[in-house]
Amino acid sequence: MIEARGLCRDFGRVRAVDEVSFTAAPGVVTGFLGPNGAGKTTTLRLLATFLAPAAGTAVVAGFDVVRAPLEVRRRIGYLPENAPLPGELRVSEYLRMRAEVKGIGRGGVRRAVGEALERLALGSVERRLIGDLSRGYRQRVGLADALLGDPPVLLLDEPTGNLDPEQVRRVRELLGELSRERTVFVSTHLLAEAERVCGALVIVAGGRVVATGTPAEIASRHAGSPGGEGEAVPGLERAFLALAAGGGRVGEGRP
Amino acid sequence: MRIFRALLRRELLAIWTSPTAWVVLGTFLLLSGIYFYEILWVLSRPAAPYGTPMATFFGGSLLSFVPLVLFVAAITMRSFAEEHHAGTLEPLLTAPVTANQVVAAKYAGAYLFYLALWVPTAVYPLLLWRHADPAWGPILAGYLGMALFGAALTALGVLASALARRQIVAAILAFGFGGGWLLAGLGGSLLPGGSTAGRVLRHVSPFEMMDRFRVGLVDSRDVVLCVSVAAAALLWTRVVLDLRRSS
Repeated sequence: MIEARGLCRDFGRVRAVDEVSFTAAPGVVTGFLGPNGAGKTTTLRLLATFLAPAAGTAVVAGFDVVRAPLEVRRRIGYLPENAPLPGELRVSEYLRMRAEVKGIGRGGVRRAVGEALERLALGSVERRLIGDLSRGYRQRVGLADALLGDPPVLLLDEPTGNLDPEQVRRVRELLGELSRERTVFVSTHLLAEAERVCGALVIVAGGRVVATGTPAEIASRHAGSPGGEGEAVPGLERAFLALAAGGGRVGEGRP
Repeated sequence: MRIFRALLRRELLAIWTSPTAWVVLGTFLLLSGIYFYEILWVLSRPAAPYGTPMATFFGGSLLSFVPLVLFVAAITMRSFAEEHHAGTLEPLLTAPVTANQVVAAKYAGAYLFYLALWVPTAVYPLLLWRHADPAWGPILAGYLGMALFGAALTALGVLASALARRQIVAAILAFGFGGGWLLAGLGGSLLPGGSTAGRVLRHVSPFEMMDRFRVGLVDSRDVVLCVSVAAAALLWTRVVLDLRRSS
């Protein structure tokens, strides 16, 4: 479970995240949808405790991100934007190191790494250097890392970016499967992904939450909104365009 | 401890698989070999000044300190700056590890590499031992002095790397910290002996410190100085990481 209450974050004079509040529960994939620069990555970094909020707080898996960041980190699997990984390590070396750092017991490391490799179909590249892998493979290694230790909360920043269509399909299936027992919070700017994968949506624009609900609820709320240049625009896209346009200024701030 | 070991192993792998490490190691051994050869050549002349080869080897001239500061800057520059630049600091700092564990592992990795630089130089006193009877006390004290000086320099380098977002900036900053320390030592020897500033600077002078170590004098003030500089630099590194998170 994730409960964000009034989260704010500034970069210099730019407020990148402005009073963001939402709840993400287990059982469905919660999509964090917004245009580029809307504050999605910053919000995920706040939830993952990489950044500290300027105001507000969030409770992730029962622990406050400000008061108990270490407890939060023990309970999350986090895929940062673009899956940054050390190129000098082999895939299996990296995952083993991450499993140890995440406190997985000595006997469980091999099993956890094996499962993660299998889930993300990485067996064929486990001995390869990460630096020699394609971006798609690196993304999958990042996802495998997030799944290590079976964390109750997954925070995934654009998890299907850089993947080929077949891998996108597999990852979407995996997310659906994982969300049955976990809180899966996925940042995306892809409407198709949000519609197909997410059972709940939090839409942000200009650093603020502008809508929450199921995709169908959000689409029906904005059924009468203009779709843009008189074209026939599907429901959620119409709603998204209207919400993004009305979301005020777009915070471009980045750490 | 297991988490620290995993972080340290990752750090050592990153250091030893980087071309910079091998360039530093090769250049250090080449320069130290040439320097030792020159020392033997000068001291073996009939009109040679008084001195033992190893005592001269351990900081007998300014030229032996400056490359050392450069080498340490080259080793430590990647610690945090490269991770920041590559984005890999994010998965590292969102894993269930404390900032202290990360700082300690980065420092230990760089310091172990610094110590590894000195291991092959053990050949020099062994060579002397084959042909003469060197005093082992001053030699061991000289190595201890270099280890302590390196401990402080490495910590300053790690701090520089945490402050910078690019490796080159980190290296320049680390060289600035180390160079500043050397300049303070030089200032101490140039200022009048009775002045307060002169006395203070001589107390922290790496030259005077190594002058004591290389003759076999292990002064607790020197040990405290190096350990204090290292501890303060690592504490500030931790503060910089915390500030990065909230600013």
